[in-house]
Amino acid sequence: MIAQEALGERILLLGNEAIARGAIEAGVQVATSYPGTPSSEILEAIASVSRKLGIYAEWSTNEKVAFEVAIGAAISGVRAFSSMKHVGVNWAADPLFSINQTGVIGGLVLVTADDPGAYASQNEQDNRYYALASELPMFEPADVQEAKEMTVTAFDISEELELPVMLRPTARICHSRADVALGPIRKERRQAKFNKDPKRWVMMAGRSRPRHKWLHDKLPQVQNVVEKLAFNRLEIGGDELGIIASGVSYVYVKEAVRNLKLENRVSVLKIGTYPLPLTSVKKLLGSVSSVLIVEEVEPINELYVKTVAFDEKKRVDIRGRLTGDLPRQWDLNVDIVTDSLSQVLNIRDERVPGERELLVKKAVEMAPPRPLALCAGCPHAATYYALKRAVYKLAKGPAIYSGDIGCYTLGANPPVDMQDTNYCMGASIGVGCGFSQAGVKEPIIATIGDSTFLHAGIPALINAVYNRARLTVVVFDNRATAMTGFQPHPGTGITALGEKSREVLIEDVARSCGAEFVEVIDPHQLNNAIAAMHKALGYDGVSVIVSRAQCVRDVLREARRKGVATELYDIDPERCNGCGVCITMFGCPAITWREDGKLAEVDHVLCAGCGVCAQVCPLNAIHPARAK
Amino acid sequence: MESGPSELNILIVGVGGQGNLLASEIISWASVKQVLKVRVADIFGAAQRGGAVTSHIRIGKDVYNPVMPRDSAHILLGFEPVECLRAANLLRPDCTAIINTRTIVPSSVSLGQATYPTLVEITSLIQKLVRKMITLDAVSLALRAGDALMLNIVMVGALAGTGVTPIRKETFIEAIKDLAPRGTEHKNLTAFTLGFEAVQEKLAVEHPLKRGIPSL
Repeated sequence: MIAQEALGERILLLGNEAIARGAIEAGVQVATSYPGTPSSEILEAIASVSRKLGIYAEWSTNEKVAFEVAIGAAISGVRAFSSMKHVGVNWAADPLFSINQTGVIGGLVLVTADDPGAYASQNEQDNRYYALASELPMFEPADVQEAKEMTVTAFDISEELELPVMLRPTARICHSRADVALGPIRKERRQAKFNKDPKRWVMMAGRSRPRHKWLHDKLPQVQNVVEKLAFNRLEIGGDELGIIASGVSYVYVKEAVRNLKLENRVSVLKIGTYPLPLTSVKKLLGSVSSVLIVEEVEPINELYVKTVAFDEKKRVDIRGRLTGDLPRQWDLNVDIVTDSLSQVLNIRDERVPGERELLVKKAVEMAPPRPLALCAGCPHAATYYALKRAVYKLAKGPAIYSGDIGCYTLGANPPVDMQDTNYCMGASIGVGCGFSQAGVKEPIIATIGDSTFLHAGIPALINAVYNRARLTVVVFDNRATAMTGFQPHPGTGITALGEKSREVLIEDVARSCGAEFVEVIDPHQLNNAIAAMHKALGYDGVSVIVSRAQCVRDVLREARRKGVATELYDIDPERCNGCGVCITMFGCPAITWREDGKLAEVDHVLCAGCGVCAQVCPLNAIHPARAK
Repeated sequence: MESGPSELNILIVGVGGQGNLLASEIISWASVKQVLKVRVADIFGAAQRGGAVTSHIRIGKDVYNPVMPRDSAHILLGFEPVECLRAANLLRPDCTAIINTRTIVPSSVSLGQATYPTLVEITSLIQKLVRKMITLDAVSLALRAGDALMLNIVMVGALAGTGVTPIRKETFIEAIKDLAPRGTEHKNLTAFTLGFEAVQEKLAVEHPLKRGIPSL
């Protein structure tokens, strides 16, 4: 559907699909990404039609590589595109701070899918700072349609300015659906041609100096371009208050203004570009005595508008996240903006707190918390359980678990409780080295997934082995980038285009990094897994365990496709004594307490038939029941 | 804050893995097929793994923001009972709530850190917050259609069965055919029909719902 011609037709698109469609309409030829919420569906959408449209798409090993691949294409004159989650740009930042000085020939667009509120991330960093720091233009869409339009325009502007352009959709845009009007698809496919020009493309000491000036000489042109773009818009209503709202905040402001009936009392400046449209900012500052800045997440526009007011010698009261008129952190919504506007404009809240409010409060309090958990049948749960038992058998006290990014991070939640740190991709091994070299006495265990290992674990493992750290690395290899939606990676032997490629075996990589203790286990064979882990924990040096079993979601999908029945398990009430090991130690979500609260039972709707619980049960009370 | 008159807000709540996102896509795609303006927010964070998942579907010509404010859901499609409680602040007093009674017990309850209220406690509280509540065991119906996973389609059928949306039954069916995985269309249509009929039967014995939604 995403590749259809149908000019002007409205189809339902996810924000991320709209961005993909924008890139397709713009005639992108090379698209790269590393999966990460909320960005993953962008490349998925492009890859799904890449063959048909003659676009090269790849899941790269990490975001730095992804962006570099796009750079190679763009400086060869073709349109290129790289999408990633906000923290992925931390990896791509290295090339970003050089490509801004060489510029590009073919349009280059870098999408940073930000996560205000950190709903699916380790932080809520505001990547508008990257646009400011690299002095590159950035667009920030307010809705799904605009996300598509901005992507198309970003390519054109990128070529006009010879600079990469960043696009910053936030999670609320990425994961929204809307009816979107389609535009024409550019059919042109350029022949890539790299023209040697060492003064431009070779950023080394001496040669990069003039290029920084080149970038600065561009900035007035950048400012001129954004002044003319319709992504910025001043909507004059009244002069009681000016509101400057960027990105998705704009639609929250629109709804709050409508609900509070402020259309004739306030003026709204919609911001869609960085740098901001200076003319409109000045115009607004000249017509109101106070301004509320609404933005996610950091007070970037708030500080900018203050400097403009200072330069313009305007005495305007500028409010926002720094003045306490909006929360200092996190994402916004209509309710927050409504409350803020009511406070700033002294509008009394006419809602009378009554019985309903108490009932709502009671309802919310009655709902038990629902922490994320590993799926029923997840091989990671078996790996964690084996590890728990091996550490106990080692009898050197509790281990320290240096964690990483992926499904297995959910091992931080009870009853697993086996993630003591979590920072960023690959940090499990690096931080584990630090524990070891600092002299931490406990057994040190770095837990890392297959895709994460290939993304960021390899340099850290080399470091661990070469500098003689003492730690056990457990690779949770479920042969999938599961958390983000099953994108292929080099360990799976499949490319983004669905082609077969040579599978990279993690045990081979680990050995070539210098690790001498490397064992591959199947976590479903619990006793063997415990024995191997026990041996690894006793090893003096760096030991690597690759715990390999296909993700249960893939296994179930495959079984359903083939029409194969899954063998489910049952707990024999005659044998079960309610010890609870299957619930409080192993923690399978399909096993719950019976209504009497004394014995355990299996929910057959959730059971995936992995059979690990039968090995966990000390009373041999769990057995295959029937096929479903 | 009461929502404006020319919009219809449908809230879907459930647990990751229940197929809520596909249900959301089917309802929104059906809306687009009828040339309705639609804005949808699928709110799941990393919660594809057993966490709470919410979809906001907003239909109407004046709708531009996908996330509904407090007190604005005209329809609640509850895939899991306690998730309905968690969303109580989003419901309008004239809300129609359709609730699947099959529970998914969170780990906080299994581990004894929290209690799961009884179904009676949940429904009697929801009943006080909405105008009309319909309960059904969507998992049993899905199993009758051939697969417990199709409870999402049963719930879409239940929504269609209320007749409170401007989306026609045939449009829902077309949308399911468009979006259901190939080869499962027949089973999915059975699931849709079971949900549709379950609700129609319930409404026939009680009082039928008025099509209370103004033109969109």
